[in-house]
Amino acid sequence: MGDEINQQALRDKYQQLHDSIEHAIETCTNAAICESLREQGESVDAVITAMNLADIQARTGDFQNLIDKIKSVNADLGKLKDEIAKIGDNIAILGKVVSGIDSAISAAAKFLPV
Amino acid sequence: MQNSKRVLFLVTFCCLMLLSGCAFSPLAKKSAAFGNAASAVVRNTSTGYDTIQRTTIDVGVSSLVLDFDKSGFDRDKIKPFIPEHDLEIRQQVLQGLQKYSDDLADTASDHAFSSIDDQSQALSKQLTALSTNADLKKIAPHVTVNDSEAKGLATAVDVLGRVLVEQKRRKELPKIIAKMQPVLEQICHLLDEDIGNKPVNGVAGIGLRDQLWDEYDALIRNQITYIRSNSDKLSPAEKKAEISKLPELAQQQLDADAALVATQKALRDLPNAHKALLASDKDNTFKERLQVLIADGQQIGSFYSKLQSK
Repeated sequence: MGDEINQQALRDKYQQLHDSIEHAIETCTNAAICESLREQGESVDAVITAMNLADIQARTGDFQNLIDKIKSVNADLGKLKDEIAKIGDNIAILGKVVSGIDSAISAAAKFLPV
Repeated sequence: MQNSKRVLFLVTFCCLMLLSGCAFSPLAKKSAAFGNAASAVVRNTSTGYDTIQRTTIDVGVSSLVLDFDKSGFDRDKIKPFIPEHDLEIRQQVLQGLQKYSDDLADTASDHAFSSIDDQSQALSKQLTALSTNADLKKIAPHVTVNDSEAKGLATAVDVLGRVLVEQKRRKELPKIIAKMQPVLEQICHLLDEDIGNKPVNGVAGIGLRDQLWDEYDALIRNQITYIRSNSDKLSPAEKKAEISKLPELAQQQLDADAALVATQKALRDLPNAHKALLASDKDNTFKERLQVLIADGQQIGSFYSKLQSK
């Protein structure tokens, strides 16, 4: 907890430096000074970016752990989808049976004396 | 005649099951609506990551323009903010969430009935063909199936199929939704933390909002330096055009941050709406939370469309 507070306090110092440089460059009229401020701004931003990236990357493992859990839920949902699709398939089988009976009757009529 | 009565009874019975509410539960309707709204939240979150990646590259390119004469082209300096591996993991999570949203909407919507309707129509045609089979009349003259009986039987099968689908959904969907709830809460919490905070008066900035805010500051800084360094080489019209980009960048900075704030709000509202799927049918909580979620999606969309139009 103490480390987190120190880390944020350090970040804030760099952010305040970033803001000061940003303000200075917005009001600067001299090209050489502008260029120098820009270079300093980039150095400060590199530190802030590294801190932000470290913060993002610290959560990557947690995201990774969730992938299998989502896959498990999606597999359950997929199974339900398949079971629902099977109901339609069963009606299709019923249709094929009726169609088969229809063909069988026509075939049988050729051999049975009527 | 006897057959007609049986078919009529079957159709009436199935229709009564439908009308009594056995067939179409509010959960299915709610799940379909939630799935569509959640899908929009996932898309917008993904766009948030894309925005930060693209803006970081834009900053790299604008710095390259200023530094080229002095230090040439260093390809390592032009790279997105989040490394490929870390982004890939997040994309997999978002894709999983997108699949859940899409499949939930698909399974719970009327789309689930389309296959049953198609097959029942085919069955109706096959029964009608059987009823008109001249050979059947020759072989079994006492067996009579008229056209309306055939259609009635197919209708009864269609209704029965719909009832079976709904029963399956009523039994399985609550279990799936309950299993997803803690997973969804964790995902949204982590994504919310990724988005972080914009720095206010130089303090408490963190995450994507902090990074994106500073990236726009860097774009403004580079643009000012470009104008100052080329002040004597730019024509008045060119100078005007370059200076005009400064307020545009400042506005884009506000819009991009507002889009992330709205995405963050949507990520906080999403688990609440998902949880309300299992609330009592008489409870209006879900309806209210869904409306909030839809409004979130529309707000984020408007911010991103503003950004894309620039």
